[in-house]
Amino acid sequence: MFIEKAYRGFLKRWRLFSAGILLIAFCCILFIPLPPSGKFWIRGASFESNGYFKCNGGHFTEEYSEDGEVFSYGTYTRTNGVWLLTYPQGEKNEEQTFIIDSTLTRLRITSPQNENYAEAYPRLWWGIVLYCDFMPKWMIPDIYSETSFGLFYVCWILAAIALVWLLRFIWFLWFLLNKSALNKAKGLCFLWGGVLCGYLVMLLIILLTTESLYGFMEIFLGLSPFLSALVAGFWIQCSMCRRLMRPDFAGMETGIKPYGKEIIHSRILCYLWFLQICFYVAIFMIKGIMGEWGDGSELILGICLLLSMAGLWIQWRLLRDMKHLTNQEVKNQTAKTDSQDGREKGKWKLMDKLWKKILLFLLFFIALVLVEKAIQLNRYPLGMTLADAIELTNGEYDVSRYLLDIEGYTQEELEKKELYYLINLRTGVYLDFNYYGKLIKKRVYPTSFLGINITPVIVKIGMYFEK
Amino acid sequence: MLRLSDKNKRWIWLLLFMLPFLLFAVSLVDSFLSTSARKTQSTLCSIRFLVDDCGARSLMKTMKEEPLDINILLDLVSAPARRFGFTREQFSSLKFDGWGEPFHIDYATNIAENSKMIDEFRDSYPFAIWSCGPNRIDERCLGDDIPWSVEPLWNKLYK
Repeated sequence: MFIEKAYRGFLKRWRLFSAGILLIAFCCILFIPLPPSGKFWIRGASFESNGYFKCNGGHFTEEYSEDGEVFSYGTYTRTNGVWLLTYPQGEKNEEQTFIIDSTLTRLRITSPQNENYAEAYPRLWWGIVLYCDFMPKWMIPDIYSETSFGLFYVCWILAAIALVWLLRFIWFLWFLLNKSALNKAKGLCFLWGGVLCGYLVMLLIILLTTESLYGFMEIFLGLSPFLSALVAGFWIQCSMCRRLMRPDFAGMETGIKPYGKEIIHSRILCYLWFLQICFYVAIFMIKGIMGEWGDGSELILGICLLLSMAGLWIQWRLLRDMKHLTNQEVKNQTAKTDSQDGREKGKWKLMDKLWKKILLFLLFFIALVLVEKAIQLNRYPLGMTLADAIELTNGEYDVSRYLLDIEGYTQEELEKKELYYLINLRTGVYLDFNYYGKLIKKRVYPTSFLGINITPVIVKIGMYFEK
Repeated sequence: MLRLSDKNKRWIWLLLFMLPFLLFAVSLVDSFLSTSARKTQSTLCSIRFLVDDCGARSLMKTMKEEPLDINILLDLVSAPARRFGFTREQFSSLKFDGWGEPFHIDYATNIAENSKMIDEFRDSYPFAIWSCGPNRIDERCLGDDIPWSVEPLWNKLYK
């Protein structure tokens, strides 16, 4: 089939495709134009008292460096070819106008008070920041920091590679559904690699968002056995895959020697998967005991847990099949063996039944739901204002108050007390705000799966049981 | 009976696995998509929240001496709005719906006869706020007008 041939071709030349995607991304940076008007959306942007433009990280609001007042962004408009930026400044919220000079790749913002100016983001950045406001804070570069801009390009490269690997991941599913031992091993390589990459990304996020290096080291050391287990698993699986690909394993032999290295490796891998599951469960328990729920990380943990469970299951089945094939009786039946990859038709029991495939599908479905929920939940950073949260929620939401009487509470208590809530029924995100409208707690409910709203069903079931 | 080859079966399974991917992509795009109707609903919900926080009855008492106007109402709820982090721009956008038209306000009793929906909130809110809708013609909460929702979504679901 043409699609299969094209896909195989893509897999063979995936590096070339990655380079192509990167090239397109860089071209986009140069040529995507700004919308004619919109919100001035550079995060953490602030003008200092001398009119100098500064960008220091942040989300939706920024702190004015002198008196600590919090200001929002202004708007920009393009009239008669002139870009105008309106920005509230000072205690009286006086509007000041700054001129934006549009160049090919960057914007230059000038203050009329003095001659100072600042360069803002490349054009595509505006597009991204305007339309995809879910990007994490650490991906927003400081315009005065070269390293930060470097990080921005690194993010692009990573995004392109991630896209290519996503396509390969679909192929991994194909491998797992295949009957070949080699393909199963390849599939497991992807699974290990996926979990390892996810773990490294999580560490990178912690490193970039944690306030102190000491804090990061504490986390890193605490999780280092976890990391070593992942690296070991990935390495063993890859070596096993290579071994299965060797020519002497093909042909009349099954490719699996009795009690050979593959079986030992597979057994070790089973233990490693199990160890991972234990780690994840332990982290869950620690979080539960410490009461650190609701920060969104449990969803990432949940995804890792599901992947590990799938990994253990597949690995265990592979081990069982390998043991089965080492029997002399089975060895005699090797006439049916596929000469290409050591496949023996009808003997591999992995994914051979409908219920197994359905179970894998369900696991995959739940993992995707968790990813979706994690993305939705991480759009709302702790400390953001109620007004910004409402703006982000964009659709079916409800915002209300828990308590009507706030008499008798001190200011500190009001800051910690959950007084207002905002719920988005479309995504299941539930946010708690304090008296001053700051987000202090967030969680997510399974009211919808991948955009399918199941709240009425839940309500009807609840009412049935109430009756 | 239709018999599928192993290869075709695998293709079917692969397509089945692709389906959640598609749903995932669509739901993500949908949650980030902003339409005029959604903006209007969102703004109305924000106004209702601010009115609730001040107390609709006490607002009504304050406004009794003056003509019912959305600007006056928003002036009265500006204090809690500042507390909740509404910026000047965000707050001024509460006056207009997703199509750029100003919201309308009137006593619930004045428009109750025109719409059954108003009957529902006559007891809880003395006034109603609505948007003209996509046709930008004020039909007093009828037609494609979008009135504010007076009760939490959870309550509606339980009805």
